[in-house]
Amino acid sequence: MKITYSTVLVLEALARGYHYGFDVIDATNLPSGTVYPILRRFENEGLVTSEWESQDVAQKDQRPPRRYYALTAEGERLLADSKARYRAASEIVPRRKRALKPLRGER
Amino acid sequence: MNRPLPDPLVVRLCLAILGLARHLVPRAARDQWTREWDAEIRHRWHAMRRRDETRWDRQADLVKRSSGAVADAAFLRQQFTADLDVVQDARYGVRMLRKRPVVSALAVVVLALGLGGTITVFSTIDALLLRELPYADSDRVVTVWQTEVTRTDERLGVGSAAFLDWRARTRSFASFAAAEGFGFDYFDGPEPVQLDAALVTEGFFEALGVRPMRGRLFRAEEYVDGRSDVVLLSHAAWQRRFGGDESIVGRTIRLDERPFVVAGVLPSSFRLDLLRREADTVGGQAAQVEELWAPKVLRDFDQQYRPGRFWGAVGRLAPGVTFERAQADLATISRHLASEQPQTMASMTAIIEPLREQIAGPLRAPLTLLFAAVLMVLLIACGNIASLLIARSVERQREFAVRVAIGARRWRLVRQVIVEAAVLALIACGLGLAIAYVAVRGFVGYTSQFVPQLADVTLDVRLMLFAVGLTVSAALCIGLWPAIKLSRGGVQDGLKETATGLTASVHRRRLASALIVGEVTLAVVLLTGAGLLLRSFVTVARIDPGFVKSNVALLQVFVYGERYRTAEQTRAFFRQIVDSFHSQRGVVRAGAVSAMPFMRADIDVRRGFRVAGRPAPPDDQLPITSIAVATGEYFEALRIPLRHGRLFSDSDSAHAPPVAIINDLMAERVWPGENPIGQRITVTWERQKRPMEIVGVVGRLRHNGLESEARPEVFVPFAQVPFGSMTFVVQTSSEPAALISSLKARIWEADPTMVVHDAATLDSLVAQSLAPRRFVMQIVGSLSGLAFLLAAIGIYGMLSFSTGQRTGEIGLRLAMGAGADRIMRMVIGEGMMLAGIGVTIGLVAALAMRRGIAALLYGVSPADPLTLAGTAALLLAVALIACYMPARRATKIDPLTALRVQ
Repeated sequence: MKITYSTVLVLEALARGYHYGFDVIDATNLPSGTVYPILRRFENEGLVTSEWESQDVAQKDQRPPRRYYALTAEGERLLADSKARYRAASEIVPRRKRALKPLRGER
Repeated sequence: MNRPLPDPLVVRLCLAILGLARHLVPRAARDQWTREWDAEIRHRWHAMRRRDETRWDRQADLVKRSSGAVADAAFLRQQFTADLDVVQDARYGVRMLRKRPVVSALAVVVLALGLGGTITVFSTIDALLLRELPYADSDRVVTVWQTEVTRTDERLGVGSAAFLDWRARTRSFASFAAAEGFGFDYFDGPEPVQLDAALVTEGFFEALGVRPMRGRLFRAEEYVDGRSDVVLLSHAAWQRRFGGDESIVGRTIRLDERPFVVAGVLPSSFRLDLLRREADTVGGQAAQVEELWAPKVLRDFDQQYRPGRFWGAVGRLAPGVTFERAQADLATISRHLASEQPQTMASMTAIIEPLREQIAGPLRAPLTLLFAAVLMVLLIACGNIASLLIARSVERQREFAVRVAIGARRWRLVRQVIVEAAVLALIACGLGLAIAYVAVRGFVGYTSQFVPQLADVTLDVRLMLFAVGLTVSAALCIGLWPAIKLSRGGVQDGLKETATGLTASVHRRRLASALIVGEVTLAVVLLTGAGLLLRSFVTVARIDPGFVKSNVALLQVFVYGERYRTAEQTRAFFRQIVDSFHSQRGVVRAGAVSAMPFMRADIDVRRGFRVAGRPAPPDDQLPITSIAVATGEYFEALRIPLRHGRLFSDSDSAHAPPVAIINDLMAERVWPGENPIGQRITVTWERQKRPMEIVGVVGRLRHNGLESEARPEVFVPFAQVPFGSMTFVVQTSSEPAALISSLKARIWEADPTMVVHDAATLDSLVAQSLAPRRFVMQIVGSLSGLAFLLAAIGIYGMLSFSTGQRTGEIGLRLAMGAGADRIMRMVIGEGMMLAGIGVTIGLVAALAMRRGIAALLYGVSPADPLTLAGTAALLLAVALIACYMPARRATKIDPLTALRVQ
């Protein structure tokens, strides 16, 4: 797995609790066409797992369930390894949740 | 409970993007993928609405974000494709090819040459023999020829009277028409020219099924005197003479100093070479391409005149009439005519021929030969590449064996080999198409001189398909053998063999040997063909035409019209030109003749003659001779040898007693063993009996090409028989081509409207007559050279491979005391045995195929022992060289190292 600046950003975002595709995009400020292929690669490599959001939550909002991504232990390890290399990443991803593009009332 | 709202426009737009992108996603993941994106988009919209963030820029942001789905889908597709076994195989194949760049490049180039050549020749064959002719229902169109009952293989032109009789009586044709060659003087171009034209009888274009691309065809009332001044232009003439003028239809152009209305323009695909009678390309007559078509007004003369056969006839078979029935019908009519007109029609009949045959006929033999030659090269190339892959499969045996051992399915390995071959073939296919593209242009530029139809040859879609088909079959040929070898249980042996074996796999070597024998066989066949063609070419080029061709310029004029009404005017014109030529620097001497050898418009006047003092047969059984009008300088300018007597001199004037010179062929035939000087013959000239005294005998000439037979000929002095259709024959002291334009200028000084019908150097005319032969010879020659090289490479590669395999064995032999010479003999012996078998089979095959090439040979037997022996010797010599290098390498093997390696 090739580690690039973008992949570290996505790992970091996942680690900080952004679990849905569009939320990761918001957090990282990367284009959707970049984030999704990275998520696919992570999943292939076993760095993330994905499952579907519970039906109940979705039903309440009258929308289909979203896909939920979470880092695996291996993903965490990779993030730790690469953090040293990409110190800047932690500065860009906001420490407070929803700092970048606050979505009020969410989660 | 909220009722679900209908989706707003922005969501629908985003979903539409998804709908398009989802097709890219591999089928297995498609539904899940769609659900994920769909959910994200709806969720985001939901959130936006809740927070009243539905401003247009936020909406645009959502659409932009959705468009990332395309990139996502493309990524998934790419990942999916990259995981496909075939793609992996192909990548692996490319990697393997790159590992051995020289061998791979050689294989690709060889295959590309084979493919390129095959496509080039095929496109020509396609245009000539396969593609639909540009005429409606063209398989119903036939050409009709007159022929002698005893020699029906010879097609003669059609006599006007015979044509009219046939037309009046036959019921087999929906339309039946004829064309007569003609020339129109045209003075409105850059220099006075004569445009090749044809006068056609009613229904001519209808018989062919041609429609004009602009304007109309001729109307029925235009085949009548006074209304016939209309013309159709060929597409080429329209472009070349009138710059493609869009308003040409209806315009008046001046031809023969009379106004003609342009009725229409014929399509560019319409190029008929009907008036060509000679059916050989080897003769090298460039095809005449008519620029103008005009209606033929039939006159009493056409109805009555029987001896001349200058027309070309076409017919469209009536519905339900078969080719055979039409043929039988015309034969019956000819028999009736023969009994009605025994004097002229007794020995004549009619034959019909499909139009396609008439068009393609002359090129059929050479094209078939070329196609066979190219296919052979392609086969050799495939053989070579197959042995390359076999050698590699041996090298990779261990790899494959290991892969099978750890669980690879056997089919997977077979497929790997096939895909590798396909990669090779595909690269070669691309290169081959590029070669074909270039080659087709050169080939067309050349051959369309002789067969105008060929100007249409292009690489089209079907040809691309043909190329792909060829490549696929080549890949299969190449890939299959090694693949089969692998799948047939070679794997178990594979592990064993590399571990313990001292000798190479017998099977594999046997296959490689068979390939070598095949390559050598094909190379021998090709080389034999090339050798025979070369010998024919040399034989033909050495034929003495009866004249010296160097330093002669020729200019042909046809003198007629108001200004040359009397014999005196004609004489004066020629006198003036010849005198002015003589004052031109660089001119040695200038003469003139009516029947100039090798000229396209060969004015061959034939007459029956009587010999004074001998009982004469009836008029229609008189012996025939060609009659040429000449000045005395003509013989000197061409350096024609004078055998007896004298040439024409100034004393042979109009008022002097009529004299003649004959050629030695005529002398031998008519006065065998006698001296013809002083004898008298009588011919009919301009409806008057003309007795003449023979004053000289000159050498015979070959008129229609080096391969043509000489004809009996009588020359009469121009001063006594002023004739309008003459060729100036100018001997020069230096390169004649440089003088032609000044000579033309001298003619135009005397008469600015005089058309110089044809101007050329004699050298170039003779060379042109050899050109088709040279062309075929060069192509077959270079193909056979290629085949030769490939066979040598094959032998070399095969021996390198087999000695490499037998390193251990050879090391053992050396260790046991075998000398280097012994090893050398063994290796060379192995290679030479294969070459010997190949040469033997090749010679037998060449003999078996000799009928295929016989038509293209001259003066050499297809079983020519010298050629066969030379080919065999050459191939064996090259094989020896190819064997020597691996053999030498084998003797250098160090027995200790070799045995330790094992």
